[in-house]
Amino acid sequence: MKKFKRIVSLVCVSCLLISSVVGCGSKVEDKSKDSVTKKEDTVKKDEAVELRFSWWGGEARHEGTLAVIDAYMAKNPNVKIEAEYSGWDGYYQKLVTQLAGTTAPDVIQINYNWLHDLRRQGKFFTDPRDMKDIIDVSGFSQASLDAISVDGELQGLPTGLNAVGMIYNKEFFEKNNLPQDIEYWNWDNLIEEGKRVHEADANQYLLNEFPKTLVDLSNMYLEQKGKEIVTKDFTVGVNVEELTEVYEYIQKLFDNGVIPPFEESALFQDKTEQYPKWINGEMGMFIQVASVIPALSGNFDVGVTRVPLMDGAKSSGVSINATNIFAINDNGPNKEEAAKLINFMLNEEEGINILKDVRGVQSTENGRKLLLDAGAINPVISQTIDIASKYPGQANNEAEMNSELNDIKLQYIEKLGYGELSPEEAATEMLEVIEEKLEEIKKN
Amino acid sequence: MKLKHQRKRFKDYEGLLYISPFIIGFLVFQLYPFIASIVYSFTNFTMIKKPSFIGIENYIYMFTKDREFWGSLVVTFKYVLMAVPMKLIFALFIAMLLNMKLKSINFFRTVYYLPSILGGSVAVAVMWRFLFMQDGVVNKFLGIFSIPPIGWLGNPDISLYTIGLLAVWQFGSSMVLFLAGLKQIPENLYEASAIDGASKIKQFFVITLPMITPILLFNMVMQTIGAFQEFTGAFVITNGGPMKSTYLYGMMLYNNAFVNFKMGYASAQSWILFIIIIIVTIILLKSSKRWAYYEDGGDF
Repeated sequence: MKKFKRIVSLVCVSCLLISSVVGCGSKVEDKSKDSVTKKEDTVKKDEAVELRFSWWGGEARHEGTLAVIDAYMAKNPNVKIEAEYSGWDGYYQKLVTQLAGTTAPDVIQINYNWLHDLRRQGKFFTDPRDMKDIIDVSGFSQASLDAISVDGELQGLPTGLNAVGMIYNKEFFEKNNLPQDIEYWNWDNLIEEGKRVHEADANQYLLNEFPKTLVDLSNMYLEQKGKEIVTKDFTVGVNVEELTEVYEYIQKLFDNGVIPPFEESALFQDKTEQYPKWINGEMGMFIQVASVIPALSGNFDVGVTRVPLMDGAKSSGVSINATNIFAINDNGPNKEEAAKLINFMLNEEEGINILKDVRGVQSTENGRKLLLDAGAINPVISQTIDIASKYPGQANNEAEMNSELNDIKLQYIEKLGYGELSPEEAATEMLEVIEEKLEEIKKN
Repeated sequence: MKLKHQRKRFKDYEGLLYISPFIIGFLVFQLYPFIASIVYSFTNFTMIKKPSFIGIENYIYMFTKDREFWGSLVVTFKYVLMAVPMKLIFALFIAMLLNMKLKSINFFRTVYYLPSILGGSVAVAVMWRFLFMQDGVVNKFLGIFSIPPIGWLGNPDISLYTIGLLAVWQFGSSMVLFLAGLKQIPENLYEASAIDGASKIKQFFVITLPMITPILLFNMVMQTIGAFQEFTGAFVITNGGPMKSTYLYGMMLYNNAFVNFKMGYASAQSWILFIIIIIVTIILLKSSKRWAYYEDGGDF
């Protein structure tokens, strides 16, 4: 009996052991298997394929994307799609790890501001133009493709168009007698009206801003003056006086109660849809990308105006970007199947009709028309894009997307907002630190 | 004779076979990364590109140029000095409550361990944010007593303490050990001192506390090591902010490794953290000779 027990437990342990060893070695095995299936794929189309597809987003995007996956699988019974979806937090970090370990999904949703950082590390994504017979890229405007290319190499396809606008709460505007005129706002009346609104009720703020969005606001302000903190050649593009002026303006926003203090708001950065002040209608407007409009309009109707503009502005500081990008994993085993799925979602009528505007307005002319005719695009979203095309800004450059430089900009906005540094001190110190970092980046 | 000998040898290996899941796991997931990280710390490894050897440049940069390093180190030390004592005091307090002879005390013991099971999970961290936000439950409650709202997580001077509270909340494992220690204290010590007229408070300081010092030492060492490596709370609740006031060492490591593509540099930083933890642990163990009491003389 004792012996029997021992044999049983030995068998169990061996099983564990074997499974753990197999688990470790699976990567190698997979590859050899995959190359076999790839070869067969060209011969036999019905070979079962397992595709992995990852994205981040809110509830609406998850539902829409899962529905389109179901539709695709129904049409292609040999394809099984594994959906890997989550919120925004931690998505990038996980993706970087997967890319490094070559375990990334086949179809990956990526953000336009990661492209340069990632491409500097290696080639991860297949240029869709290399798969012309599967993906049709003719519907996308050259400008929208250029915006997501690195050194002429297209990294994926834009899932939709997105632009920044001033999204406002209609009820709040009516209550406070604020004009809903699209071209009303400039930097001066923003402060005047903001002050009036806050004085009428101390709980109210005209503008919702977080540390991160104030970085964008300062970039926008500078761009309207024809300046940028770091130019596309990674050199400093402003002097202390110019930067101080922006910071003084931000200081005024705080001092006049136009925006809430960081103590209150910072906790909800990137989480406006959870921010009680926004949900309860105590905030007038928010300068944000159009794709968040569905999430922000849960409790009330929203409208959109153009961003504040200064007299003689050289550009609005608003650029039309890809909401995000569908990329094909270049090291993945199922590149062709991945391309087919992307084509289905972005080019085929059925896919477009299911996805609707969960990733902003469609980036192809055809897709946009299809959804507009069906009334399936949120009118505020398409209006935001229209306004942005009427008041264009410069396209984003690589330096603007560098994570370390952005982190420095954020730090000094925080030091300003928490009152640790005066506008002039913040401007002086920040330029020193930026310069130091630029030298370091150049060295690498 | 020979056969018997062979069988014995097999028996030896049999044991190894039983613990092999651990051994393999340890080798692959702990020892290998541990050694690899030493090597990487002398390279400019980005996790993707092929690393090249750069000597001790990472370490030089860390100590002379990195503006974040010292700030983060200070935050981490502040966190350890605050979270560890708070957690130990709280754990001991609850352990003493649960050491009372009550009916259904086992039920309470289970209940008080629950927070540790929930732990620092993301869901709990999100709940923390809602409890301590400006319009949150805690401030609403304080408002009843007309205490003005406090920026628990928004104020850079306070936020670190609020993150520390999340650690204190997971007092369970320390508490269980304390509880075991309290049960070991002979009842007759209390009886004798009571006869001599010692108050409850006096009893605590002259009997209870000295008798559980070995457990106190163990808990202190374990919790200190854990606190130096703290990550979840700061990451999920405040993401290091406001103004880097909760930018713990673990978060800096994570950002360098997974956001800034500086795996080599992050490895170097993790080695510095390792050395700091070793030094602090040695100091604790050495100092314990003066304050930890062992009935058997104290060689461990």
